[in-house]
Amino acid sequence: MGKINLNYSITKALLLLVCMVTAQLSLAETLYLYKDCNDAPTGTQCYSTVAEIQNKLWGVIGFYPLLVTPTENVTINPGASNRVVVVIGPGEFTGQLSCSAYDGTNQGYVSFRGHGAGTSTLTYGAGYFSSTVTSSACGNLSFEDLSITNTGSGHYASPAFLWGQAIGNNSWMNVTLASENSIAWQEDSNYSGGIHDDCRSVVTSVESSHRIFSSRLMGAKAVVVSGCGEVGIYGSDLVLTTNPGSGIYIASEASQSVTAAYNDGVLNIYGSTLRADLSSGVPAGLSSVTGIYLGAIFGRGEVHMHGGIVNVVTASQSGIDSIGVNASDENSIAHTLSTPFIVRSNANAQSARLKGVGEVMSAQQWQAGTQAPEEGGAFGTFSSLDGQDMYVETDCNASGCSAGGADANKPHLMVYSEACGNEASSPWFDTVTKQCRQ
Amino acid sequence: MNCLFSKLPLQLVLLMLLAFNTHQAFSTTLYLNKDCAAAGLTQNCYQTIDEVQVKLWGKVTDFGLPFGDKLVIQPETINPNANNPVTVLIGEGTFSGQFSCSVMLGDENLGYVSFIGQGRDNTVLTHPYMVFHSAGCGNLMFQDLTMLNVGAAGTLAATTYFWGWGIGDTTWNNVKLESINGIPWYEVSNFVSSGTNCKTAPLPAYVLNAPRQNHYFFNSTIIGAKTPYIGACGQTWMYSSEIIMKTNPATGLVSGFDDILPIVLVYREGDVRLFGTSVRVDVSAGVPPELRSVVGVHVGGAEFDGVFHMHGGDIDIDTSSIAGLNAVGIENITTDAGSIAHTLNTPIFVKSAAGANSTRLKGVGKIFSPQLWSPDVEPPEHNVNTGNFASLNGQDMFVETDCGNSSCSNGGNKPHLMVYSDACNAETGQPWFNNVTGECRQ
Repeated sequence: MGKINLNYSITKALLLLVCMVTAQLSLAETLYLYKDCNDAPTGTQCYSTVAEIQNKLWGVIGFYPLLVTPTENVTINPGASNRVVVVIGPGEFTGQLSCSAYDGTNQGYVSFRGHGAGTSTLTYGAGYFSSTVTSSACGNLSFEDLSITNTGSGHYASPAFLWGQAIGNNSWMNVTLASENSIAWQEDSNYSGGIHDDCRSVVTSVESSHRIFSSRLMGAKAVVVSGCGEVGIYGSDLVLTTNPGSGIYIASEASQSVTAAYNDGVLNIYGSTLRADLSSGVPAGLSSVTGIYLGAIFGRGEVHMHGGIVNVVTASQSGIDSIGVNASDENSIAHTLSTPFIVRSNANAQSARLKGVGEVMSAQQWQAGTQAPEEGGAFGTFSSLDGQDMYVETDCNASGCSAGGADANKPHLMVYSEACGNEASSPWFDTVTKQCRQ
Repeated sequence: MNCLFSKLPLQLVLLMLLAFNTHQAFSTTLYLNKDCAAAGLTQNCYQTIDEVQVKLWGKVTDFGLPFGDKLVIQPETINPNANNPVTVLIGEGTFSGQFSCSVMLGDENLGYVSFIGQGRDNTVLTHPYMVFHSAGCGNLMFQDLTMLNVGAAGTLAATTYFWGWGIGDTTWNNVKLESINGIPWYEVSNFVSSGTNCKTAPLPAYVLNAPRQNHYFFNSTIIGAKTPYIGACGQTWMYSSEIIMKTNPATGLVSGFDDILPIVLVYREGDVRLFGTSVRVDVSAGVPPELRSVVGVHVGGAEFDGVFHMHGGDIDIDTSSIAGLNAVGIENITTDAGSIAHTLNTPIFVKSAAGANSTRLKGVGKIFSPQLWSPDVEPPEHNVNTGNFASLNGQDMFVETDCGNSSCSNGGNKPHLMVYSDACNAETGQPWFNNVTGECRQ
């Protein structure tokens, strides 16, 4: 009887053990990153450093391009059938995350959930190719309620988030992404070592899709760069925060943009702000700031933006052109109906709302007034593309506008005209008098 | 697991449950929970706002003072700052009380507290007198909760969130700020006495020298009976949100200005920027009998600048269910160069009852708000059942579709572009200039 009782107890203990192990296994897909693991639920997998989480998820990060090496009996290697949630507590956590396995499988499917943007922060800022979070050849990542910052400097200052040769999608909700000296969010899905090939020529997969909601993104050299994938941005704030210390190391950095799309990259932006903040100064050699840059030698880009605003004011700095859209590739498309653009440069520079050879559909009606948009102040020369801009001039009579007289009080609709710019002193066509504005 | 649990002794099961649910508090995380024990929260968990308030900033002995509340620091008070930020995780339920971080200690690095609830319908902070007062501290974050003021009408009493002497920023995500009788969001960053512009003496140096504060709102609702959003001195960036004035007949007049109620008021160098956001009035519950006008956005004061930007979203001022109540879209009363309302690509609708006025734009200040109305055979809001429409010179356009070579509304079928014209109104009584014929519309 005693033996039976003993066996019964052992069996019960084993059952209990199985129960607890099962319970642990059921929680295995949730990791905790906390400054003090006493704050995490007891019995869960909690780590205090980014390096430990990295090792647990994908392994140890190697040198460029941040390839990972799994650690036997530790690394999970998440996937579609083995998804992981990482809960991140309050505080700043320094380190790099990379899921760049390149083993032919998508080792993404990981959700990172913080305790609020600005409350839970992942940060990094040292070393060559030092992006804080890097995704190459993996995807389906989700980021919520946290900040990701990069403080690296020098020639190879890095993005807060880099998406290269990526497969799968990712999403962002209530996230702050900031790079002090580089790009906040960069997708370069087909980057193959310095040569920008056509989209998906390196990694053959379906187009990557990214969704960014209710987030703040700030970068010193660009904010969002889309190469190859499709990016949807909703209700977010994108700010190019120029930094004199970021330097200009290659010629192309002399022209910086809030957003850029190339290599078939597509940006869909709704109810969001694209703006430049030059209040901290600019790096020596900066010649222009552009709201939306499309194409160039890297191939076509496409943007659709509706609602929100593109605000590129460089007037506080001498000699820096302010550009709204530059569709530099003839196959590029900019479709921005119902998005107002503000461009304003210093008197010795250019204020170009629209520019380039691509297909630009960006009609804008400016405010009514007695002068043309951006006319009459100590600002740079305004330009746009033929027929894209309109305003109502309010000091007109039957023969023209701005000439004074008791009857010069009628409103005439003016349309931007390149022909008038060549023929007359003003690039505006008066639709009432059917003459170029003088 | 359940079947196994059912065969184990109760004490063992309880121990196991405790093992899996016990949270040990982290030093910078506080919990506000209706039942700390049931939630397994054994440390730093409090059941009342008063307890959390004492822990964060001290005991409030006199709340709602214009220069900051009277706070008495207790031994357990943290006084969070940039080097010691605190997160307050708030459980489900309604918590009554007041928060005040009006510490006024002369340190611009105070604040740095995140308040995170369980969803705006599940976590409610409420009080009948100013739910949250921030003065002299900032860098506050609010997420997934509601703040509700249920107090009687009164400029400050019925305010839900009051921001005075602000330093640092605030961030709001998925938050509902509501005042049944008053103002849900009231920023008076530079308030020392009436009549001062932003950050002027005799404010203390640490306030004067602090960077301009920013307020970021995402996915939030701000709703109140009186002027739901007042921006002064600081800068607001609001995305995908709604600002609603839900009039309440019982609120009456509490000041001489209440007969004209703006939904958004920007003055004292305040700067409010809305994107993909709706500004609207709801008069379905009735209005105070003295109310004469509802204004979507009011910019400036007698001597104060204001900056307002709005792109996307809409301003919808429909007072047509209330006789004699004027509907105004935007009014800028300040001619100072720095005062502006800039709302390109934001539709503004105004509709009042017959006999009242429907004024889309108004005032002597700078307003950049061109609008193309729907094409029609009549001008906008031209209906015997609606009030008199007015706007500002050159700001409104519509395409009239029944025009011939010389005029419209005479059996033609061509579209002519019409532009709102003060001069035509004076000459013909019709405020529209026909850009095809070059004549005033008859």
